[in-house]
Amino acid sequence: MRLFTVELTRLRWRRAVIVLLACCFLVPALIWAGLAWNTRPFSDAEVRDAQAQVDAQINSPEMKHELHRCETHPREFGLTPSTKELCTERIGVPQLEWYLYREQLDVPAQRQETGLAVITILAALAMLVGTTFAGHDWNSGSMSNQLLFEPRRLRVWAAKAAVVFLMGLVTGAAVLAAYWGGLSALANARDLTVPAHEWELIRESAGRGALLVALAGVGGYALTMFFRSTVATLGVLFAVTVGGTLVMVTVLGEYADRWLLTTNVMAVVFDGVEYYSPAAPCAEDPSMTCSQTLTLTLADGAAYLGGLLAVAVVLSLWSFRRRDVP
Amino acid sequence: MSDLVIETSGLRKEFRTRKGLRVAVADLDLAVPAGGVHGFLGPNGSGKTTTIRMLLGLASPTRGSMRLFGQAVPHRLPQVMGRVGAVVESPKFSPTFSGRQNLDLLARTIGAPAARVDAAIETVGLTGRDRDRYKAYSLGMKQRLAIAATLLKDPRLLILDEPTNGLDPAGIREIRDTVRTLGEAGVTVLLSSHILAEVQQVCTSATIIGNGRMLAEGLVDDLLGALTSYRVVVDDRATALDASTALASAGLVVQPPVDGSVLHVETQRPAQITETLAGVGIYLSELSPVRADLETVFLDLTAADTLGTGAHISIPLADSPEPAPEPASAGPTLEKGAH
Repeated sequence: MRLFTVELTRLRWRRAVIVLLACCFLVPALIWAGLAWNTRPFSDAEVRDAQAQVDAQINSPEMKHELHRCETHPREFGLTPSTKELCTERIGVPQLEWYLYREQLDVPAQRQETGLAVITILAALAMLVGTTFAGHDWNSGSMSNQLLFEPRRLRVWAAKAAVVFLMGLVTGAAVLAAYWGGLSALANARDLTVPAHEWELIRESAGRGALLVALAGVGGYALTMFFRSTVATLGVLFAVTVGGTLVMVTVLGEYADRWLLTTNVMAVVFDGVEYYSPAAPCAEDPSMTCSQTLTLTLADGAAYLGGLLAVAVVLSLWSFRRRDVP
Repeated sequence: MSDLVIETSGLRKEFRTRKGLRVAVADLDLAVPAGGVHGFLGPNGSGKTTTIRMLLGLASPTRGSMRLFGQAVPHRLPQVMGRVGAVVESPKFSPTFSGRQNLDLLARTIGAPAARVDAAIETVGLTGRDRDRYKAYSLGMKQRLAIAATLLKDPRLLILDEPTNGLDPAGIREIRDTVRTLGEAGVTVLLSSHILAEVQQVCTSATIIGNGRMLAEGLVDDLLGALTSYRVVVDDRATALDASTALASAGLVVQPPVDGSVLHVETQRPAQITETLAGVGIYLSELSPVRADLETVFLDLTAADTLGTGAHISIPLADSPEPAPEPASAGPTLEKGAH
């Protein structure tokens, strides 16, 4: 416990960590603000302006003539009998909503949109925190000094990993709670009702997201303890996420989706995700469209990500325990 | 329990490099008794730091065994580390933390009270600068902070690797006095250095290594005496030439007289000189020892090691060693790469 509090203090005192933690709050706040702005309700002026455009279109001589023709010769328009409403629909008389084309806030849809983006950003930042936290010890050489005061290397590794995990979990949970709390407040302010079961799904996603953020931090930390360099770790992470994806798509082709990092992250966050696969069975009824998708379950995604993390942790522990410390 | 604070047996460290296997420490048997200041002398790259790093668990030996306070390390290192303070190579702290923050973290790691941080800062003279960032410190201040860190433990064994590097003359004297005082107070100090005068002034005993191998060990006084030569004065040059021939025939190393009646003979038994010369009817006018300084001893030993003659001198360590007398002037230092 003593070592844990020491490492927690070390983490708190690192300026780079403070900056990254600030980003963890700032970036989602900007996303929230952007979403709030882009889905803001229409102002009276906007509605008036749209209505004016609709009226101008409806009152144009061409439109009046077409409407009159539809009502008098409905067969020419494929209508028998005709009503004003049917004619309005058939000839495409302008509607108010055509001129009010801004997307409105849809809280449940945000789970798979900005909600996923926030979790991804938090995971990346937590990974950077883990990387810079461990990398600083190696770059400054202070790791050897720390081991002169606590030579039990596994304890040192575990204490540092625990604070990175805790930081990720608390930050992830706090930020996601604040983000969804903010969206809830926004929905309330706009008199939008979100069904209770949607909130349940959001809560579950956010919980798994916070855990993912914490484990991403541990992953970054473990890799840095293995490579003993912030730069090397960042290089490898870039190579794995970008280069690895390209290699997988090249090698596996249409079968790559199952093994992509993003697919597995979504499977964990959304409790399963559908992905494209040529191996997917098609329905026997030929009239039905074959979607060619399979479902990647939460367990599948968790096993994939957990496997990657386990490899990083085992390598890191082996390396830190066995290799000489400069 | 052994009265040796540091003990290594057949200690070996090999590194794999692109050019092949490099032996940094070769079957080193090191024995440092409790109390006093023990010098650990060797040119750069001789294996001093590697040996220290192995003792402290920072590097693992290829083979051999090590003991600190009689406990096998690295397995029992956690049991003894609380009694060991160490500065290995250059001071290594977090550059963005202040000196005090760095010490605070280390003190809290071992559960030392905050007051000990204050005391350590005061002892090394960093009061007033302790809240400055470490990266703003001069090399001397960094060195002082490293020594302050060792004092957080109240150590019974202090391992100092080049502790006066970067210090100004006053700082060097201060550190040497501190080391000497700690040694007199019963703390065992292993002082690794390539500054020969430092070892000669401060240490009671010393180990000299070269190319990772033990070259000599023992009390500093005895090490100096071990290679003492004798100045032999006879009546005239002709007698000196005869004496030179006789002594050489007896297997002694003699510097023949270039002119005059003076010879220099290397031996650890001056009686062998008088006995040999009396046997051929030559009687001495004067026989006096020429004391070598540590530089001479060191250079002789390391040169012999380089040439492959493998000189190895071992002198039993006394129970209560007395410090070696201080030379009048600061001695030479070995420059990087010298050897």
